[in-house]
Amino acid sequence: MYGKILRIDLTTEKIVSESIPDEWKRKYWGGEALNDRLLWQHYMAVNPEIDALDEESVLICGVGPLGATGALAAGTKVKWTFKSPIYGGFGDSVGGGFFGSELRYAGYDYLVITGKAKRPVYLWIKDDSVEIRDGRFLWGKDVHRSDDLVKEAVGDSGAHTAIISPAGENLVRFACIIMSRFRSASRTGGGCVMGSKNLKAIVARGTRGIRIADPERFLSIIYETYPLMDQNIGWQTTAKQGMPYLIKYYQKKGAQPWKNHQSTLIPEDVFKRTDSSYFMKNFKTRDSSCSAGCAMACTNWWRIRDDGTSFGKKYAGETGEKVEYLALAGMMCWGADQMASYCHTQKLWDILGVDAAEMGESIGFLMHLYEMKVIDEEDIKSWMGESQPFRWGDTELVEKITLSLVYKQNGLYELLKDGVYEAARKIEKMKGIPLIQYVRFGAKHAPEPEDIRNRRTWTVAMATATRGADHLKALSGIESSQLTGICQEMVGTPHGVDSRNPYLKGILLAWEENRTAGMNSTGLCIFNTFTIGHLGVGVDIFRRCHEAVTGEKADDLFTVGERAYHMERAFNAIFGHRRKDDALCDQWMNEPIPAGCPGEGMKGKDYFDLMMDEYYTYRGMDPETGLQTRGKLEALGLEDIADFLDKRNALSHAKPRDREEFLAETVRRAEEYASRLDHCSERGKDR
Amino acid sequence: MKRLFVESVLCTGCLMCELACSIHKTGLANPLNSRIRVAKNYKTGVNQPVVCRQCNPAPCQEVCPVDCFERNLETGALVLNEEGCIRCGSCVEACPFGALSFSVDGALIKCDLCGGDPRCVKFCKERPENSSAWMANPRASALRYVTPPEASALKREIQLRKAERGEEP
Repeated sequence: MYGKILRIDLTTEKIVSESIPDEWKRKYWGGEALNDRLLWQHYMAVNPEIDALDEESVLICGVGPLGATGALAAGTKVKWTFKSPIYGGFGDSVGGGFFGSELRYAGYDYLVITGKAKRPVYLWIKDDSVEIRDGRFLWGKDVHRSDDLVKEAVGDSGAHTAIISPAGENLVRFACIIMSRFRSASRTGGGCVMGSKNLKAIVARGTRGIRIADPERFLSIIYETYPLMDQNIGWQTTAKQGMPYLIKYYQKKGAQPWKNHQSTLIPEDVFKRTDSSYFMKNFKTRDSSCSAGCAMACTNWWRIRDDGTSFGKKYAGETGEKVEYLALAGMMCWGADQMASYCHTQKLWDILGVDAAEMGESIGFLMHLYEMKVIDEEDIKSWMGESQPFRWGDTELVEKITLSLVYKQNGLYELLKDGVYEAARKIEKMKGIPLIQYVRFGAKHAPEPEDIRNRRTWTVAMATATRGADHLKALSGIESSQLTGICQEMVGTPHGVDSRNPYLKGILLAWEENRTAGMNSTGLCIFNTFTIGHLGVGVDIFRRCHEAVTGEKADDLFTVGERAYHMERAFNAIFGHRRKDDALCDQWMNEPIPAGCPGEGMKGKDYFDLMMDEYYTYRGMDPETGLQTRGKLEALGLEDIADFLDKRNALSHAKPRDREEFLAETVRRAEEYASRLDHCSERGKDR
Repeated sequence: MKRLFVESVLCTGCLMCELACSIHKTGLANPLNSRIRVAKNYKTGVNQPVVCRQCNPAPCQEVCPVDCFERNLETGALVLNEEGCIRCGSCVEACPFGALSFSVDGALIKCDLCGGDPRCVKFCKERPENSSAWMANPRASALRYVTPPEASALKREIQLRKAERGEEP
C-alpha cells in the first residue's frame, strides 16, 4: 500500500500530511515520476525562474511503492528531486541506505520540504510524530559525527538519517545528501539545496510497516526471480565483486578517464594494482547490502592493508564501506594509482558529502593545468596560502583540497564551489587563455568521469540526459554490453548493438531511458532491476509486483518512465533548453580517441546529428528545435504541462510522427547499412 | 529433524529474511514483526542473524506460567499458542539468545519454522564463492535448514576456515 505525502514548511513550521491522489498512483507509480509531478505542482504555483537556493524552492524526497518491501530482492532507493543549483535546471539524485525504508515504515512515501528555517534545524520523524528541532549542535560537523550526535539526541539507535556535511552548509553547489552514513545522493547538488534551507538532517524511524495487499502472491513473485539471478552473469559478477568489477569492464571498453581524460586506458601496472581481483584479495572483508531487501549486495566493507604501496602503508588499518567510486567517480581523473588511495578518498568524500564526479573532474583538471604549466606554484599559493605542487595521484593533496573546499578554509573554496565548468571559466578569466577544452561537461554539469566516445548510445545518453551530462538516466547496456537478444526483441533486428552502425541508436536509447526512469519510479535499485529486466522474465514482473503490493491497477513501466522523462525535459525547456543544448564538451565531440586505445579515432561528433534526429523523432519531439510537441504530451496525459509550456513559448505544435512507421523505416536503413558493412568486411578478408 | 543453521559471515544484512517472515506471518513488510532478527552493526558492517534454536528442553517453555508452548513433533518446532498467551514477557526474559520478542502491536512472536518450510531460509540468497580472500567461503547462503549431522559437519568446516583466516584483517 502507498504511504502519505508529508509537506513541511520550514519558514512557518507548518506540517501537513495528505494522501496520494489515485490518479497519480496509476499514472506515476512513485519514486522518480511522482517526484517529478510534485516538482511540477510546486513550480506551477511558484515562479520557476527563482534561484535554486531561493527560500521558495522545493526539496522533494520520495520512495516508490515497491521500496522497502523486499520486492524482487532489489533493494530500496530514495529519490531526491529539486531545481539543480549547479546548472539551474532539473536536478535529481538517487541513493540507497536504510533511511528510505524507515521513512516508509513510518508511513510516509514523500517529503515535500519548502521554506527556510531561521536557524539550523533537523527533522525528527517517528510514525505520527513529526518535529522540527533545533540543530545548532550539529552545524559544522561532518556526516559521521552528526549521525552519532543526532541519534543520541533522539535517543533511538535504530533510526536512520539523511545528513548534509559542512559542504552543504557552505553552499558548495555539488554537495550531496548522505543517507545511513555511507549512501550518497550526490549528483546535481541536493545537499546544497538542503543547506540553503538550514536543514542539517532528517532522522526517520518507523514502526508501522507497509501493508501488502496480497502477501502470498507477492512472495511467490519475488521467488520467481531467484533462480534467474543464478543464471545471470551480470548479477553474479556484481554480487561477487561489487562495483569494483567496473574497473575491468572499463579497461576492456577503453572508458577510463586516466589523468584528466588524456588516455582512455589506465597503464597496465596501475591496472594490476587497482583491479577488482586485487581488491578482493587484499582489501575486501565482507559483502554488505546498502538498503532493505537487496539480495545482490554490491557494496563491500574493506580494511586498508599495508600492501607495499606508499598510501597503503600510510592509511593501513582504516576501514570503511563502499568502493563504488573506483572507475566512475573521479579517482582515475587525478591519476590515483593505488588501491589505498581509492578507499581512503572515497570514504573522505562520503564523510564530507561532496559529489565525487564533480570533485574528481575538478582536481584532475587542476593537476592537468599544473602539468601543462598553465598554473604554477604562485597561483596555488594565492589560493591555498602555501605553495604546493599539484602532482598526479597525490592522495594527501586531494584530502587537503577537499578539506579546504568543504570547510571554506581558503581561496580554493571560491574557485571550486560552483563545479568544474565554472572553475575553468574562472581560471580562463585569470589567465586570459581558453581552457574549457580540458573539461568534460554537458549543460555545465560534469558527467561521471569516463570516456564515452567509442559507445554511440552512451554519447547520445550523455547529451540527452535530463540532468546535464549523465549516464544513469539511461544506463544504456544494449550496445555497450552487446545484448543482441534484447535488441532483437525490442526492434526486431540485432544490428542495433553494432557500434559501427549509426542507425537505431537513438531509438534504443529512448527505450532505455524510459525503462530506467520507470525502474526508478518503482523505488527499487536500478542495478538490480536492470538485470531483472533483462533476465527473460520481462518487465511485466514490475507491474505484477506493483499490483500485489498496492492492490491497484496501474499503467505499465514504460509509459510511467516516458512520463517521467517528458516532465523532466519540459522542466528544462522552461529555462530555454533546446536542441543546441543537448551537446557535449569540445573534447568528446571533436577530439578522436587517442592511438592505442579501443575505438581509436572515433569521436562524439561522428553521426551525432543523425542519431539525435532519430532520437527526437522517435520520442515524438520536434527534431528542429528539440522541443516537445503538444500531441505527444497530450497522449501521455500531461495536458497541464503542455499548456504551461505553451504560455512560455516552449512548445512545438508540429505533429509527431507515427512511432511504428518510423521504427520500421529505421530498421530498414539499419539493415541496409549492415549489409554494406558486411560487404566491406568480406572484401577486407579477400585481401 | 532439521534445524536452522546460521553462518553469520555470509550475512549481508539485506533483511530479506525479516521482510519475508513478516510478510508471510502478518501481511506487513515490517522488520519489527519478524520472528528472525538481524543484529546489524552499521559502524563495522558485522551482521548477526538471531534465530530461535527450538531448544529442547526450552527455557521459554519452562518459565511460561500458562503453559502455552507446544512441541510440533513433525518439525521439532516449539510453537506458541497465541490465544493462550497472556503477554507476561517471562519467556522473552528467559531466552538466552534474545530470540523472542513482542511485535509492534504488543503480541508475542516466536519462530515456528513455518511448518517445515522456513521463509527466511527460502529468501536468503546464496553468496558467490570466495567473496573475499579473507572469507574464503564456498557458494552458500547465510541461513540454511539442515539436519543435525549436516549441521555438525558444517560447523567443523566453518571452524577450520575460521582458524585459517584468523581474526578479521
